[in-house]
Amino acid sequence: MQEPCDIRFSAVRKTFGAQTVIPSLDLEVRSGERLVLLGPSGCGKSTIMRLIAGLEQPVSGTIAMGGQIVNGLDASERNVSMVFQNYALYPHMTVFDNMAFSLKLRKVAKAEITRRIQEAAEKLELGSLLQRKPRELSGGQRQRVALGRAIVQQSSYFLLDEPLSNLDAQLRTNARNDLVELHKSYPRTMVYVTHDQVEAMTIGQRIAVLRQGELQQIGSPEDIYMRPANRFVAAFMGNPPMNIVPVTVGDQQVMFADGGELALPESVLSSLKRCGEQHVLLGIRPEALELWEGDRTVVKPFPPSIAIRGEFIRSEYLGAVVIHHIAVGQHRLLVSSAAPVQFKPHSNVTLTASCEHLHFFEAAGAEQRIPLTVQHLKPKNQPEQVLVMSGR
Amino acid sequence: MNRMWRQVRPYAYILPALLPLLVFVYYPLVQSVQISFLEWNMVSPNPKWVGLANYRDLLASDEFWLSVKNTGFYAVFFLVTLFAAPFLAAFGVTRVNSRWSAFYKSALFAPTVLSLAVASILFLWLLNPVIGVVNHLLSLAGLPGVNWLSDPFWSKWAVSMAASWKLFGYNFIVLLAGLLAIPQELSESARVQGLRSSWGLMGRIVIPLMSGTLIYVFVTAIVVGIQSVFVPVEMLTGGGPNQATTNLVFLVYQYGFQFFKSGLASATAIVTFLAFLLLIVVQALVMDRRAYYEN
Repeated sequence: MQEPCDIRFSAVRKTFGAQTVIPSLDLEVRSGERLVLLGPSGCGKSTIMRLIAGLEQPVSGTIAMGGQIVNGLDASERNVSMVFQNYALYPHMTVFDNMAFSLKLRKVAKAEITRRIQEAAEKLELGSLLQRKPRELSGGQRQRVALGRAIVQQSSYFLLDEPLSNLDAQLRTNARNDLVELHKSYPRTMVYVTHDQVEAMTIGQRIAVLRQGELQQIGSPEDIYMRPANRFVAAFMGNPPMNIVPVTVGDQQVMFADGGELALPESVLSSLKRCGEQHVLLGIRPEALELWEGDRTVVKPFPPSIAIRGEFIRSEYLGAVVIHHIAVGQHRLLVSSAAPVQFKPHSNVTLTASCEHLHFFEAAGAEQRIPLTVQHLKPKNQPEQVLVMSGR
Repeated sequence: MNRMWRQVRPYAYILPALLPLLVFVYYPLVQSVQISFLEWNMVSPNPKWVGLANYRDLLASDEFWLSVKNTGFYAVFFLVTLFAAPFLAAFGVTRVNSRWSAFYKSALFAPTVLSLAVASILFLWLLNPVIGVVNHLLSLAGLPGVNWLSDPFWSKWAVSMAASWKLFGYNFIVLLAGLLAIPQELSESARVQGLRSSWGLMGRIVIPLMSGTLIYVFVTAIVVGIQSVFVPVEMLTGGGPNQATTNLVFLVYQYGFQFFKSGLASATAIVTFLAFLLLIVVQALVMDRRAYYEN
């Protein structure tokens, strides 16, 4: 792409009446990238997209597109293509006319309109449907028409507002893949809104996680998953969700609220002590935990690990993964594994995890991530033996 | 037995609706055609067959052609006040702040709940040349007062306004419902695709998508308007001054129930019926084919 097609929000504020949807947002969409806006419903992600499209105007702050400030510029002048959640196909027009609509408005030559539509129709397998009305199409076909309509416009910006939410699961998987392929052949700046983290992870080159109109974290899918910036992002991403337990930092260990203790390697503890918080949140993803029968005390010395004793409650068999419910004191931890286990209910089990998979968050305020230095530890001569006591 | 019932059943279900229609609409219609060939005063035991004489007399009379001309005036007037104006008002209401739109909706619909007779009397007062508000406002604007109900030119406007005032709200609400049924996503999508003006939006998205509603209101604006204007005509001007406010519907009434010329009245009614029929046929053939219906 010749000209830069980035989008930059600076201190953008948006209110609807007395309700503040976006308090103050700074956000950058890089030229040509696929950025996913992810968050629960009501987090303001659709509003951000509508601000980019020009369907809403900010109360204050500036929005720049391709280096130009576009505040006050109407939607019709922003050189943007948008795919709406319900596709917004014109029901009184054929597929061809739907796709030709924006081109006719721009007075594109007839031959060129036909050429572009033929090309897009071929790519999206719509060739035989061009003379049909939208009501004669299936959901998947409508979605492709909406995409085709956006493509032929040849705008610099591509906005998609939950475009897959009306498709069934099977179609959605294919459509996700098609969208990424499509972006490769039409490398425009793409902003994609969804509340579905699987869509976000598969489609986004970067993901912006939002909550109540505030940006929580922006980064690659790996970044977001492996190094969540705060407790909200950690809990929102991942299924089954991350186990998050409040703990108190001690001299050699952290203490659970019910009196149980978890011994931690010195390096981890010093990271925690450095941040000065007494009460913190411990997070471990279900797939980072390994499940063992009985009480294990000795664990692998490197990488530094922890072990937690608990009581097996039950398993949920989901096919590809099995989710185990483990009671540790008054807490309930989830562990996922590929293979089912044959443990008796209420039998003793031990959970182990490498310390590099531990996440700590502040227990108060913004619940920010506390950075650990455990990853950089070199093996010591003396094996590190970590023991866990829980309130069992 | 069972099979026969299955075949008869749909007709049995339609019967309760069909029966009154046959008795009160189609039978009188056929009866009118028959009466239109008679010279009869409705009470005489010896109606006289005159063939097409009633039609001949009707087409030769000046008052018939005056009524046709006036009916044309009413049709155009009501297309403006009961079709175009409510459409623009409804389109406007969808674009104003929602707090105000609730006010406009109720304010514009309010006159609909009154009867035409009440509306007529209200206008009798409003248009009174001496104490009426309308002439008072005209004088404030420096304009001369008008003898609304006795002026041969303005009297048509006066009765049309009375009928329009009462009927406007209903058409407004019907058209508003048609407008609101258009998903907002569609007009937003059109905007993103480069459609800037309200007129463009109206022409390319709004009107095509609500064409079914528009055709319905188009036809009823004329038919209901001309039928309803009968009440203010009868109450305010009696068809005068010098038949300036008469129309085909009023002429039928005058011939039938004031002059007791049943044959002539029926002939007029048949001609009026044929004119309205033409309108409906045109609607069915020309406009319906281009209309878009949701299902």
